[in-house]
Amino acid sequence: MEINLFHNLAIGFGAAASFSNIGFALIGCLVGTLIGVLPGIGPVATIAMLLPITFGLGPLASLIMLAGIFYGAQYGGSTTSILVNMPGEVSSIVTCIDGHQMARQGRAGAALAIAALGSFFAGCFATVFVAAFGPPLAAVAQQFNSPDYFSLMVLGLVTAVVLAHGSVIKAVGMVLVGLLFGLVGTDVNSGTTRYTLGISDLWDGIDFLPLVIGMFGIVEIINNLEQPTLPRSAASTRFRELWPSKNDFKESWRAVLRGTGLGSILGILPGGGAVLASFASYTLEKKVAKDPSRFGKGAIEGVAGPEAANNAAAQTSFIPLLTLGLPSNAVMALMMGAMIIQGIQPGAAVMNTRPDLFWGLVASMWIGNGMLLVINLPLIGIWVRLLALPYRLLYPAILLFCVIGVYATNPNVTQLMLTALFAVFGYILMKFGCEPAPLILGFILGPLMEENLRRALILSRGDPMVFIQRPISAILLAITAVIIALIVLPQIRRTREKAFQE
Amino acid sequence: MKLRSKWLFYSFSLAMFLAALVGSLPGTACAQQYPSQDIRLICAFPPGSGADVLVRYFGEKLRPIANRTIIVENKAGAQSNIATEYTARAKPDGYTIYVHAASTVAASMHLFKKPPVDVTKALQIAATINQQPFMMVVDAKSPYKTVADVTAAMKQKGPKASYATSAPNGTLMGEVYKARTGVQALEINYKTAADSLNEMLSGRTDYGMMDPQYSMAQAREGRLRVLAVSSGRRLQASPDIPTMNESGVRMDLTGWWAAMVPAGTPKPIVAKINEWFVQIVKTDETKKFLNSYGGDPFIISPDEAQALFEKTEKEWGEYIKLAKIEPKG
Repeated sequence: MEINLFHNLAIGFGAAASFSNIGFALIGCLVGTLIGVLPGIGPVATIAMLLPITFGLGPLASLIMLAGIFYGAQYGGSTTSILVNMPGEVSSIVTCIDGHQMARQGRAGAALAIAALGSFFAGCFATVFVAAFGPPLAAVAQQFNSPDYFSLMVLGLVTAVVLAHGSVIKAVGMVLVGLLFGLVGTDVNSGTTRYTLGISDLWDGIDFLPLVIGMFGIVEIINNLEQPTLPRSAASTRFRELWPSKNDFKESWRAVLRGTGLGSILGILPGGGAVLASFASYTLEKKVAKDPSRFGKGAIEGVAGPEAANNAAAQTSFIPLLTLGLPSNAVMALMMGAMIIQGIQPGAAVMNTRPDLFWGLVASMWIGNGMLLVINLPLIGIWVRLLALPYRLLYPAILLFCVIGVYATNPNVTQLMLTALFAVFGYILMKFGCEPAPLILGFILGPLMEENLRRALILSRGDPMVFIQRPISAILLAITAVIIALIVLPQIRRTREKAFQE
Repeated sequence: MKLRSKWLFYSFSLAMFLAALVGSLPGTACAQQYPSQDIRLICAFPPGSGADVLVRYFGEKLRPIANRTIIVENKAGAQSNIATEYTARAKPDGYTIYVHAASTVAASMHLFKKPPVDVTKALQIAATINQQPFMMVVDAKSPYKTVADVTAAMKQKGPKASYATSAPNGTLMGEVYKARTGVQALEINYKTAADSLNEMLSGRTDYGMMDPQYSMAQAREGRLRVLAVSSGRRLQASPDIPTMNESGVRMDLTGWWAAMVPAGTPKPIVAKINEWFVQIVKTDETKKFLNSYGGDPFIISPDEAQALFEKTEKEWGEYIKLAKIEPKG
């Protein structure tokens, strides 16, 4: 096993360390840092917009680049949080609390360095974590039959609902709408068309790109245009010194370890990911601290823990996608889309049929983390100055880019009308405070769920007991039931609401 | 500062320009001497699929021979009806070549209530590419060594038996097998062949009718055993696998790929396209490539091919009737 792990990592580094793949990792990390720094453009929207471009690349190159954007954004997001008190990413909201306080006390350098070093450590650990836990999980996945897959997806959707921000009812609604969108098109078994409204372009279902670009990319632009322009300057920030003091290290290394561990585990959970991990880590640090009153006034643990956690989670959230074919959050759903566009069905088979792909991606994460450390620490001044970029130039360019992206992938005017339609729909949802992420998960998982449900029932000749008779499926459904019970019980619901308010 | 924002703006513009290039279609120019403009190969499957790789292989090989830019256009969906219709409606000028399984195109006449076009009248076969059978597979650990073993065991199992398919050809082969032997197994349809592996290895499905590429790959990995091919004669690439005919189940279901053009394409242009494809199919490299897909290279003249197209259309119609497959609406 040990030797295998190193052998596999060697394959991975062999694949990832090619000149062009290192280049793609660098592009991904740069773009990720850029969008991490710029408030208003998140990794989901960026990856959605870049999907059409990956089309012309090889599968490994496109995965390396998209993954780089995702974890690069986790690094970049912390920079603006600390210096300007403006989270570039949702996952770095908590970093603002103590990070910006540190900056105001003239310790910006220490905060930035600890954030970057903590992220780097977490990233390295998470890489090993993915390498060690991927194969055993994939071995389990090979035992999965149709009923097990169905139950797994039910569990995934239910946890996605529980862990979504805001109202549970809205999240459930979004999942259901996503499932319905997933039903559009020709039914494979009977050839009947469903919800196509007589439009032949919908016979093959709604394409992934118009949906995500409309609901994430374009809505994000509209949303930003609605916000009043805030003064975005990093005033009165001085870098006294970048290198943290001995005392800073002493105070933060435990927090980094705790954050890394917590983030690695939360990243694997369906519905989990970077945002949840950083919030959970902050709460944990506050709980274990000897003097919790320091938090909010520049406690370095409040930066170190969450930053390590969000980066670890960003990377371990690849595990369920690569081994079970189950995307655990919206970014992973997009990665799944990217793989499918390349003709690769994510899942355990990938590890056997394309070991270079799995291990190459794992290795590239480690390479990317090293790059990010270099990109972020010495070049921090450049990134901060980017905040002065006029959005009047940026937004029209992004919008045009979105439209061309959709059209280039499938040259068909219906695709553009769908994109516009989903943009309007997404905007309305946003106004009602409905998160689109559960919808995307429902949309991606819906068809798979239906396929496995029907297949399981055909194999059992219509007997629904098959879902309880198979041990894997039974365990997954039991976990789902426990989770549902948890949200229904009023006491726990209140804690959850409180936790998200923090 | 100004400079930086400009730089960003320019890089976005560059990205847009590149994206626009990807999406742009070739302009139409009048043909004086064929080929005088870019040639489009139509693929009925999405990019990255096994079929797409095959079409792109021919695109790659065609480029230096035709001395023109070859664009592969993916018109996926509706079980290749979209691509078929698209080609049939294209100008018959030799710049739109549909590279697909002609047998599937022929079968579409019987698989749908309203096929989009009368394929044998709307399309002309310019060149044939390969011949490939479907395969009957079982779990490599199962006791079944021959088709007869499976038949005997399935008869014992009666309606409790299940089998996996993943494409219309697999469905057809499965139904013909059942009609000829009286086996009552229930079909379990999978979206991709790979999806069926776990359930076949766990014994939930008893046997499968799968495409040759998947079957051969899994057989090489030692997971599945190939019992028979659906074609009338054995494969040159794997001569040790018996045919269903030899195993006592009468059928000749041979899929064959071809380069098709809209009917009415001038004879000299069809001849030119035929010459190109023959030149590619003949090479050892292509033979190896096609063998890896579980098929053999296949070269006949355009006229013979058109006759085969019509024959295939009739024969598959009979098989579809025998298999009692309802045409889809």
